[in-house]
Amino acid sequence: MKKRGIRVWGLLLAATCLLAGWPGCVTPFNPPPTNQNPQDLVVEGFINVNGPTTIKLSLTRSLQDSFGIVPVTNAQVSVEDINGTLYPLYEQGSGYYTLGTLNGTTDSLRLNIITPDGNQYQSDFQAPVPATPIDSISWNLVHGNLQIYANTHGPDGVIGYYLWQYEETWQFHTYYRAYFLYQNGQIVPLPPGTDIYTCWKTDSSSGILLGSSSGLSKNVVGQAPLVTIPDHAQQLSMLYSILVHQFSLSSQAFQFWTNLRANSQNLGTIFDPLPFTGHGNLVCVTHPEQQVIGYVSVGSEVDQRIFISNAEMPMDWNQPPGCPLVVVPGDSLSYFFGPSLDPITQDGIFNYYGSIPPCVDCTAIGTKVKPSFWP
Amino acid sequence: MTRKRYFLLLLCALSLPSALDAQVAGDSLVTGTFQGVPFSQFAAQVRSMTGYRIFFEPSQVDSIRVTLSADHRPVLELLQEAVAGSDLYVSAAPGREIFIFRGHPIHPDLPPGFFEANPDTTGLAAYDEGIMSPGPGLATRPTQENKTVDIGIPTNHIRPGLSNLAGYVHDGATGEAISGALLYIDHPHITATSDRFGYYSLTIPRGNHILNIVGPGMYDATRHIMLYSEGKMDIDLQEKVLALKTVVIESSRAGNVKSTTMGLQRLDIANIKQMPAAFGETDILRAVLTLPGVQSVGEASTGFNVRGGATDQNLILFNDLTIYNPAHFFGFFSAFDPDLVRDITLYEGSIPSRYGGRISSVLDIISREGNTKKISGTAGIGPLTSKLTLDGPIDKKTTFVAGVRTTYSDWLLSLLPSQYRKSTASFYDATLHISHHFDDKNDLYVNGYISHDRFNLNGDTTYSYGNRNANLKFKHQFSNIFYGVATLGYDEYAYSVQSAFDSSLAYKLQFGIRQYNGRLDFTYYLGAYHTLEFGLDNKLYKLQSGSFQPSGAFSLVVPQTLQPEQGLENALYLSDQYKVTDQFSLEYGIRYSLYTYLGPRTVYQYPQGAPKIAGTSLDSIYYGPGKAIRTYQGPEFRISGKYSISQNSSVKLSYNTLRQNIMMLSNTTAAFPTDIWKLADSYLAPELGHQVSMGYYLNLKSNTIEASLEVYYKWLDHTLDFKSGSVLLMNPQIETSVINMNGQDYGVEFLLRKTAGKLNGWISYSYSRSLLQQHDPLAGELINGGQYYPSNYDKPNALNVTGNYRVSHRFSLSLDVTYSTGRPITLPIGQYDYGGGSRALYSDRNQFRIPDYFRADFSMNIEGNHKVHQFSHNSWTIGVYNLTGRKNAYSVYFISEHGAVDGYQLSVFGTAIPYITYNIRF
Repeated sequence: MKKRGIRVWGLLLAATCLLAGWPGCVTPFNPPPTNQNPQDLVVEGFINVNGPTTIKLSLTRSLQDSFGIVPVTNAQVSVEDINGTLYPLYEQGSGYYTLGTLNGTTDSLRLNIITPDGNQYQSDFQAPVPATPIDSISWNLVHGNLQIYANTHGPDGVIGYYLWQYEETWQFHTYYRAYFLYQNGQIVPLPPGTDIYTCWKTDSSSGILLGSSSGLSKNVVGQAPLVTIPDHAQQLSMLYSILVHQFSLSSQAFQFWTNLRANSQNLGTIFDPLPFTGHGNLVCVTHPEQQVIGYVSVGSEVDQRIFISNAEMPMDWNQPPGCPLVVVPGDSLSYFFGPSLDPITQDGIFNYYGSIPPCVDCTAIGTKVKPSFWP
Repeated sequence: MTRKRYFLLLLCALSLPSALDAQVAGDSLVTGTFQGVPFSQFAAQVRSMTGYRIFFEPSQVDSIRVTLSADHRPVLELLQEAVAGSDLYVSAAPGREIFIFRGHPIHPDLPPGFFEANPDTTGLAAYDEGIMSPGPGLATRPTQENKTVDIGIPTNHIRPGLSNLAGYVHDGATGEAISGALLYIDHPHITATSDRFGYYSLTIPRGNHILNIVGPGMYDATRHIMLYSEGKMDIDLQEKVLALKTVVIESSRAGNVKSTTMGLQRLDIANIKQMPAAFGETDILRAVLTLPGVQSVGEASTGFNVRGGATDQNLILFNDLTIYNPAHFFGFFSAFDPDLVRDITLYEGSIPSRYGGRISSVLDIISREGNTKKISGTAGIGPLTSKLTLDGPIDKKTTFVAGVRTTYSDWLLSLLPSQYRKSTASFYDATLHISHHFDDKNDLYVNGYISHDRFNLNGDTTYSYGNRNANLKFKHQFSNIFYGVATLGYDEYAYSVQSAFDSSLAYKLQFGIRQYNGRLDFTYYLGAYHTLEFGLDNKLYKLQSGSFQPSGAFSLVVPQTLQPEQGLENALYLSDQYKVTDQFSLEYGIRYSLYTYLGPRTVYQYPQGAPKIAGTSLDSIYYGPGKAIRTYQGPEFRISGKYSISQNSSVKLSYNTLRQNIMMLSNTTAAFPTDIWKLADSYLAPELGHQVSMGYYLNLKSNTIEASLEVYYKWLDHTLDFKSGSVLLMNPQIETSVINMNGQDYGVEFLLRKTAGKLNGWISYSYSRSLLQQHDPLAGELINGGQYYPSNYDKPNALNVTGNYRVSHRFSLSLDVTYSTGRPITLPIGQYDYGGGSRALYSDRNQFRIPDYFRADFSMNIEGNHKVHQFSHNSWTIGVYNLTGRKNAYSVYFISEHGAVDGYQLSVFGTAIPYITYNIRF
């Protein structure tokens, strides 16, 4: 029996590390510090022939840098057609440059950038990729989680390559409804007309969502997963909305995005291809050895918005998301209340109840400004 | 000599006794009874009775007591009876004199016809009054080392000159052939090594010699021989039983110093079984990884890298079957059942001319042979596999060895996290070796091997892959010094991936390689100093390059089948091992390889001088079935030389060139069972490898300690790397994804091995580099700016200590320590924002390294009792893999999450893993 015990124990331990992804085997890794401080130009955005074009310019920065994006300002950005006509973009600040519209041109276009340091960058000429409408944005529940999909189809005989981005907005309420506020060391009743129970919050996609009909007999992409909202999440506590942008891509652009996705989202097991930085379709005309990152596609965007209401979710969706209820004695208010705890209500005479801000005050995570499209 | 002639000789020999009788007849009859009389006393009495003077050396006869009774028996016959069983010979001389000598009969006078111009050998034979010795064709199996064996047709006159002695070296207990046994005489110094059939051939001066035989894992043996003419002698060696207290002086164990080959590593299965193993599964490929010059990218990856070569650049032969995938379960276990393996030889430096087709190394795995005496077997039960082997005689001329191994690791997968719990895994392998001995000249060998893996991930994607191999070898012995082997073989590797995760995307992917082999190999022992090997090696490769089919009625997958490809590889080789002087020997060979890529195939044409990019092909040309599309040919040189500085040290130098026409395409760090193989074609040239190496070898302490230092430099042409982000699977224009590279590998390897005593094992250290450089201007992408960069398996410092300490006959301890520099990786050197998240900006390829690798394994081997007569012998192995529990990085990766780039490292065996196994031998 003893020997068998050793064996089973050993194998249990061994099994913990057999497959990738098991927490016991994965530990954080900090790369060795490098003296390299890359400051290459990064160009993001696409030339929209049927709507506003927005191009964002930034610089690469060191891995340890936690100050966020380094925008490139004072650059001259323009769209050029094959006849040499230039359509300048106007600087909006924070590295954003915009152009009104290109009136649905079908000419090949490219992007010209002259950075403040005098370097000139160009993308290659590309014909606009025709847009494909979104058939539907659908959803269902998978293991209790809400899964949202995009569905589209294009003309047969063409391979469709699609990129999706989205903005999600939701109206939500906190788990507890507060009747008091803690202000200047005092508990005060919530002023009439003040609502910290319901707010809105907006978020945008951070993953790279791609789909393709490559290898399929029809130009159909069905149920391409976009977002998964976990069971009981606050997003669906009242009303949720998602605006999906669909871009049709060329196969080269699709490849660029696929590489970008592979290098930033896939698990890097030993069986994955070597990571690398795909540079895209821009070159530095003045100094060809100067690296530049980005793929500037030409085409148009189609959008679709849907709403999903809490009523469509199972009854138990609004379960407590881990909101504690703390009893605060009346003589210890200043000890408990403050940044870490907000009051909710009073138990009649002496004690107060409190909880952490996100469970009490919706403005801690959201905004009171109702979006214009909200019903 | 013809058969008729032998018969004549035999007749003469049989008629000898009567001739003697006539010679010593008359008053030379003895009558009397002797009971335990010392020989000298007996001799004195005989002399007094007959008047014969008997000469002998008293010290040679002092152990002989004579017990016999005689009634008018001839004196000579009586004396022969008295010394029977010893190594003494009785020779009569004219003039009533009898000589008794040890070792061989003496010839007191000249043979009849000695002064004639053309002495008649029949007469010479007839003169001999020694014990009748077998002529050619009748093999002797002497059992006593101090007994002199007469070889050939005995004559009293040793004609000056050389004669050949040949035969087989066997294990005395099981009758299995022993390959790699060194046979030598000291004066003059002439050596021979038994080949894979156990066959040896020595051409030495006629006369009296002491023949020394050193077999791996066997007791050293000596034979006193008297070589009259060409003859045969089979030698049985005894397996070494471990001696604990006595120190065995192994004066002749000097194989590494004396042979000409360099960079040759040999492991015998007994060594391998002592080594601690993950999950207690003795693993041949893991043992190979402890040898100097051998690396792998990670601890659970298929294959190994030799001196900076890629995994597909190793030719893995199992009984001459080409094994394309040597691993089970994605590289966790090697696909060879250790209970069936006799020994493994890794050629990493000088590669013999008979091998070809891969540019890095040859791993030659030889299975055991069947026991010729009785049916025996082994059974093993481990946590992951169970195995059974059987071997023995089928009839008097046929033996077999067969084994199967299978897993029941499904239960292990059920311990995994729930998202993997629906996974199932299974594998098996089976091996068969049959040898049939028709007669002394003809042998037939049949080998078969099959391995299969099936892995189902979460119940929806099934990977299955396997090898199937078989060959038939026919060996014919033309004469003592010349034999040939004809081989016909078939090798296959195939895999399929079937996915039903999404019914509209359900597919089945298939790939397969078939290799048809036909070869002729001849060995000719030319005189004492030359061994010639020559032959033909033909391979026809047929590749099913990929088929992607819809699976199920709802699948929208478009069926796609890539064009199959085929190629014919013919090679002709000739090599000579030439012993120039006692100190200097040379092995030189040439192999001419002619490779043709054959139709039917449609070949895409690309614009001249422009990067080959999918979609830029101008046109295509169709080549009909069997039509030559492209031919590549060239010589390969294999030269090595050895110079002995002293009895126990030598220096060696070697130069090798090799060609490889079939390549594995893999753009992942580790090889994967579902990687594709590709033949050299119109765009992909065969890979060429060149290697120069030099070494110093020194044996110490009576050859029980072997030390060696080897330095090598290799350069590779047309080796492959891939464009970033390229897709290799189901790619009809694979040439657009491949980049031609130059490779450069160099290193120095140090090995210290102790082969005897209670403590044995080895320490190996190597410093090596493996670099690649892109020189292909038409690739459309210049990796790392065209500079040399480290390959995925460039691990400069590698140290390995493998030791075994025998506490008692039944208990031993083993420790295995491995250290190496971490392998190169491409790391983020910065970040940028794109697509709504922070992305990693990667460095040039392979500019950084994962943390260094360190692992210590420990095991205890406990043998059951050593009684000879019992049904089965049992043994236990208890051990711990990764004793220190170090979380060695298997891979390092970066994920964009929460808007930032985070780094993680993954460990496979990130903890100490205890194990226990039980083995039965019967």
